[in-house]
Amino acid sequence: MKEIEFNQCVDEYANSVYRFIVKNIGHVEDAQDIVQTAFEKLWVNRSKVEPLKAKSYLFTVAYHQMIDHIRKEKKVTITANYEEAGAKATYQKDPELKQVLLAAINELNPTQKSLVLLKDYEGYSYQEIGEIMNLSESQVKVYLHRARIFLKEKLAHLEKVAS
Amino acid sequence: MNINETNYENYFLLYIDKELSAAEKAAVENFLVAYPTYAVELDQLKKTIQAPEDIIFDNKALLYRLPAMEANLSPDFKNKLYKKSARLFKVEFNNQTKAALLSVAALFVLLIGYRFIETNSEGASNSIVANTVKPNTPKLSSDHASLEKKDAPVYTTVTSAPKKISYRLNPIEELAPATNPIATINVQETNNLMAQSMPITKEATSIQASDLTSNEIAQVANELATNTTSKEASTLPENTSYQVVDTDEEDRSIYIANLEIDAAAIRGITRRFNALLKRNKTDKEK
Repeated sequence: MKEIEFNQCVDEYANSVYRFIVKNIGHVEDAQDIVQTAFEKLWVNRSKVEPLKAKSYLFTVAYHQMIDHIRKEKKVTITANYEEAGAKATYQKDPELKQVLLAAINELNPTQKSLVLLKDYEGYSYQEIGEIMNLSESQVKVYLHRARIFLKEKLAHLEKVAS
Repeated sequence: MNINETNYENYFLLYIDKELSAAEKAAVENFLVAYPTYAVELDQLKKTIQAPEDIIFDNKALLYRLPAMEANLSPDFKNKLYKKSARLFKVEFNNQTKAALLSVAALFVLLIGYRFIETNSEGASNSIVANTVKPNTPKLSSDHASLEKKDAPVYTTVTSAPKKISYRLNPIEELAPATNPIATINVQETNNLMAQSMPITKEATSIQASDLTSNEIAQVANELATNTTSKEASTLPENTSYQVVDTDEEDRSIYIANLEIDAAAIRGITRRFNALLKRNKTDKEK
């Protein structure tokens, strides 16, 4: 990977990686640090990383950085202050539903949260997610399905309460 | 593939995750047509999908790499910065060459030892005769036995090559009878004292030349003697005994067969060799 290709990666993937991290840890500065570290590592290892694999390399590095960060900080209570970072809903038409879903997602454990975000935001396949998160494909499938069912039940419960 | 009311959820989850093949997708859709009540459940699962958000990373400038940031130093300049520790010449021996060298060294030592013993036994008879300066005066020769006895250990280091040592001691000898009772100058084994005594002889001869009486000469000589040799002169016996010691380093030599070798040079070589072996050893230990 050359300098030009690296800078293209910055253009194309910096937002995605940042979004993935900030959604996970809910802290803007820490997320920025992690993104910066990920790109730093990509630059250092640019001779070994093929341009086509750069995105998953960035996500892999960022994910593991984030896990380290979570372990260090032991941030169990995650605030949703990334809302102030200019997040705008485009999919859920219902702003209320979106709020509910965000709250539900924050109740997931970090692994499940990462799985959901990698799947929904980045559209990675189970296999790719497994590579990024160092899990087997079937683990990804089981964990992700468990997270979905949890979210579904949360939403169903809230809808019942609302109605 | 058979989607039924017991396994539909797994297929629904795979469906929303877009992990199904085209055929499987069609099967799920067919199931929903057959069982429309499950469509609500699929909708509920679809709602769990996170909508991608436009979250922007503001500090992209931190991430870009510009050519100026990677101002690499030229290899030539880098080479100037590298530090090289001076590599010493290192000799590596394998076991065979070590054994060979050891045996050669042993032979060498034996040869030197043999030659040393041989020259020592030869030298004992030769050197003493060659180097002893015998005084002519009868008084001194009367003490000859004790003189030779004293000399014997001193001359062991002297070379076997006969040579002359031309220290002129005559003036003192001439003066000796006149100053006999008092001026007993013992020139001891050091060169230093020898050097000191030389001016005495000069002065003594000059005194003699001025036709002074024997008493006066004796007085002057006595003064000179006490000045130069202090206490020793007065306490020593009447007989004057001279010892000439060859302490000249350059004259020390080793013979290997008929080849004369400078001992100092050999010592230098052996020292260097020892130092090299030591260095090798310490290097290996490291």
